[in-house]
Amino acid sequence: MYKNILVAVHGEENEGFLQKASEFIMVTKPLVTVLHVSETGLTHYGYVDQLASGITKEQFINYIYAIADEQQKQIFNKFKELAETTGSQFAWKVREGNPPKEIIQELNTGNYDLLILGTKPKSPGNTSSKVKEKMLNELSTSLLIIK
Amino acid sequence: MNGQILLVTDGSPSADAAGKTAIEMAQSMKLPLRAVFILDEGWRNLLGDEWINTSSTRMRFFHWFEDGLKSYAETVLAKFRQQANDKGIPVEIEIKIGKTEKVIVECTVNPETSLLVLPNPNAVAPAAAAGLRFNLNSLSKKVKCPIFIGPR
Repeated sequence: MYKNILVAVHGEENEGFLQKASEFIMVTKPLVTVLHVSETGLTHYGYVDQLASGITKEQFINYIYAIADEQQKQIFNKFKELAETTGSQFAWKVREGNPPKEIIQELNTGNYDLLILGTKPKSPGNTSSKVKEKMLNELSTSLLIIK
Repeated sequence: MNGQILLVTDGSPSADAAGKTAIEMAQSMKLPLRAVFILDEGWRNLLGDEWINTSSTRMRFFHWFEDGLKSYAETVLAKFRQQANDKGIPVEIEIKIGKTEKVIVECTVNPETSLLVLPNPNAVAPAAAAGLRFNLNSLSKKVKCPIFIGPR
């Protein structure tokens, strides 16, 4: 069925994402690449823009990047654990930039036949819907959205 | 995973590819398979130009148009059933009329659905191509199961 799958993760996937993803992966037994995109170019933060001074804003953005790094480590550990329990192997890739653009670029460079995305729980500032819609418009492979 | 695999098809190449995945998933996961073709009721709000400005002409046009759509839907579903049966997979087929997103959501609730399979809505040109139209963002908020979208 699917031989080469790209799983793009942001670290805030709903509970049960890994379980459902592993059920699908176990059926198809493909080569799995897990991609995490650290979002860069964070320049606009609503009220922060108005309230914070230049230095504070920079510190705030650095704080966001630190959180992203921490998330990356957690995602890697979760997939490592999943690979050990299912006896499967996965490749781990990290990119920096705009998530939809980076995911499309990765899809174009690799020979992937399926993209798996998770969804984020509803909360202010979550942008996963924009990623999904953008993917749908530009994607040539199949897409699996796991809630 | 428990529950049916639900394919909502529009007969496009994207739906054909998605349908193959639905059959393979039903086969490997031993889950029941159901295929639905939705006739969007939005056509009923079509007022038309001068040439269908009388009630009788408009009704004749709607009947002619609905017959055409229904016949197309039957052909698409029959083709899919044949493909599934060739692989030894039984499939329940159905034509539904209503608001596309609402019908999709209802179909996933009863019976319980483990995977919703859809064509890419951008795979066919708009207007006359009559492809399945839905907003993925809005749909993914309403549907509880994973959503599989066929290639563009």
